[in-house]
Amino acid sequence: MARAAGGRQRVRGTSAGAPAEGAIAGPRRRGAARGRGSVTVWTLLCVPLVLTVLAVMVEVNRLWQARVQLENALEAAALAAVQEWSDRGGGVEEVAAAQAMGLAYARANTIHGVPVELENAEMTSGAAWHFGRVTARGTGYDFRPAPDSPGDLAVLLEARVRVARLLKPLLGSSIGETTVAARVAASYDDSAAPPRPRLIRINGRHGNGDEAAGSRGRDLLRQRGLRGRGSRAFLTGGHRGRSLSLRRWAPPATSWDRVSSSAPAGYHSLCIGPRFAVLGNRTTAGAEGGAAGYEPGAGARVTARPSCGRPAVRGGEAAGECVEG
Amino acid sequence: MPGSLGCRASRSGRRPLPQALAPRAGTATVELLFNLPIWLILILALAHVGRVLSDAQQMALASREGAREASRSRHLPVAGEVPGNVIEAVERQLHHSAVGGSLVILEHNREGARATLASGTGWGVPPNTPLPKLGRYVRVTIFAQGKAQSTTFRDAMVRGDR
Repeated sequence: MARAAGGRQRVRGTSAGAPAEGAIAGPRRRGAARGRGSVTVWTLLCVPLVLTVLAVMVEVNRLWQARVQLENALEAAALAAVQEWSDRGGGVEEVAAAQAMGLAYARANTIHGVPVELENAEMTSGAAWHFGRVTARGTGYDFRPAPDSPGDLAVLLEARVRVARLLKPLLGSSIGETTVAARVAASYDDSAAPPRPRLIRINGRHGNGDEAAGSRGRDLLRQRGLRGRGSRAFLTGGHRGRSLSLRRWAPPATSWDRVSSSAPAGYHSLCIGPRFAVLGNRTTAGAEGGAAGYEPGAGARVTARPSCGRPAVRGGEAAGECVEG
Repeated sequence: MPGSLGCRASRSGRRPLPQALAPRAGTATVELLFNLPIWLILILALAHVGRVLSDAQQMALASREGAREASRSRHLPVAGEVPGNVIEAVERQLHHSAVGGSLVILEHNREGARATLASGTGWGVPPNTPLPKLGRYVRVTIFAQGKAQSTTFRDAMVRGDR
């Protein structure tokens, strides 16, 4: 066996014209050659990975910072709006002025140097203002979007804004942008000395509204077959702090903003379409081409409205009815 | 038959090392030494960028805290230094960050005219973001590490200031 192995070595060495040790050193050199440069190769392979991690880290942090700045802007807007609303008496008619004040203070703040324009559809993909009252419960507050209910005046503000990614110049606006969202609430504390606005936390994810009112609105939508009819509008969220909100598939997605921002306090701004709106507890809505509303308690009437931002006409039809405008 | 298996006999009697691996270990070490600076630079860059981004976020929060405190201050001077409670609110937020030597600028119009107060080290120019035309405002801007962060709130201590 040993002779046979030695013989093979000799034969291999003889055929290569080198001693037997050389026959073994051949693979060793090749192995060493293979090993040489492996760390460098791994480094070269890993550097792009590390750089990618770095870019993702910067991007995520940038978005997180945008969210912090958006929260700052929304807090400023909600505090300014509720203060203005309280200064003016807290009536339904004063909502527009309060909202204008809030918009001005949102605009005075920036996200990555760009002023926060909640009324600008290019920057804001959705903004909802809710004016109502809050009562303390547990560690938070219950929000009721009705100015005539008991409690402190409050403004609940939700917004989603578009933020440019670092690679936007390369990727374009389609995937070079993303959205960040925030939700804040502020109330006016009359019992404080001196009275002043303050930030509060609303109980529940979407507040704790009147489920029955929201369900009624949804039922009406379903009964009338209005969902998505005549437009690319659809009902989202179903029930958001006692109100139903609507968004549109198709750009410009400004209808929801417009309706939400123009609806008087205490009114639910719900579904809109080209010719109709379905309303909840006490609601009005405006939309492109018309709107309708009803008020269950007082007997309702649904009417067409060519313009946005006005309360529904009361009287006429029975509560819970809704017809196309 | 150790020789035929390509293993070097160990004099100490320990398990023999494959001959093909022996020279590679040294090569890898040398290569690693050469590549180590690159790795160190990358790791330090990751840590540094993370810290810078975190500090920028802390500055945004600190400017918010400062503006919130200023908007609730009973007394806001029209000249001189930024009130101590505002500085304290800012520093409380920046306490856990590496931001140091910041400059705090407070702008407000509680008395009607625009007033600008400054405290801290360094220098900076308030941002050119338009100030709100409605109501009385307070704006706190923090300058640190070559960056600026500002937050504007409505003055909460003034009623009927339209």
